[in-house]
Amino acid sequence: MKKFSETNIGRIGNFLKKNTNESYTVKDISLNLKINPKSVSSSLSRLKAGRDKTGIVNGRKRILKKKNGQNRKTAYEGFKIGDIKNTSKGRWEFLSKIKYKLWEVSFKVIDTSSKNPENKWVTKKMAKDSSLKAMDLHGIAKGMVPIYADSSKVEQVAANRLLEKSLDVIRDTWGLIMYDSIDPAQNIFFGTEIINDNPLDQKYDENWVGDVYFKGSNSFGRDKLNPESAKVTFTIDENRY
Amino acid sequence: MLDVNRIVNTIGLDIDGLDKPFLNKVQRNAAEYGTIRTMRSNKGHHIKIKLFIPTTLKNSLWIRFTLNDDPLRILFDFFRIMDNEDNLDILWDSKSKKSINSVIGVAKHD
Repeated sequence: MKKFSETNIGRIGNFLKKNTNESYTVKDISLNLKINPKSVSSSLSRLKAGRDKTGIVNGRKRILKKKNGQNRKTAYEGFKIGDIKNTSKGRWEFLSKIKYKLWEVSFKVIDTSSKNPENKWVTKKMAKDSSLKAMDLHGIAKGMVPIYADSSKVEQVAANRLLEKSLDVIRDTWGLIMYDSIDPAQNIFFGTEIINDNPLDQKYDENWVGDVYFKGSNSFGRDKLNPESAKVTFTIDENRY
Repeated sequence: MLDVNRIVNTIGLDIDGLDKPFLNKVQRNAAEYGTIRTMRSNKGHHIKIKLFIPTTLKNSLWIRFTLNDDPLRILFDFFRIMDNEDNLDILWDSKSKKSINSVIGVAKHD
């Protein structure tokens, strides 16, 4: 297959691939990528149908033909024939059967007033380690997200919801009321990560399941074998992404 | 009132009418702010902009104004912000007119 780096075809293909299952007009692509509309149109046709396959016939380079006389086509690398289609009049899109990805979101309370290097992001393993003196409050949850949502959207929708729900859970489980003691704009570090690009389950599941971990300044939550954690579950409507 | 300094990543524009030169101008200007996606609406076009640089809600209203978004949409969003109603910048695919009496009637029954 032909390799290309920054050709118009590559730029257009990658743009549509990045925005999977979202249709764009030729004009949109032309303005977004600053490419002449005529080049966009021809590149899209080439991406849709592939390029003519050539080979050496009788010692000369020739376009290979099928038995019915049509030209044999070969796909561009990364874009199978049929991936990019014009779905309705004037609109082009990269179609993917994968509609959802499995994401993990997390939050961690950080101490912005302290310069202690121990107050950086604490992993689940570190939170279990009772030798660390710092207090710890963090939560992790997993759930399905539509393919078109980017990390900032996932953070805005799912990670924020995890934090809200975790605060409810630690109030109900341990009686700790922390709504006023943390400022999401200052003390919270949010994390998002794709953990499965192609989950087997292709139906949207609105349920998110995770855990919240808490370690206090005294003995609370400092049992090495049994750290204080509680289950957090919440739901997110697909339309929110 | 909603926090006008909160960060927004996308902006929607509602362009009524099918004036092609005007639409071209708006699309060209909108493409300076982010990745645009144009869709047909009942009366004209909707343009969604994924901003290159996320901005504040307050600035997003100014950007919409400079890009010739429907002024009534901006006004209603302004009222929603004042009213603490977090339902902003929605581009409706279809709208239907209802008489105010029917809406009030339903509310009374509820």
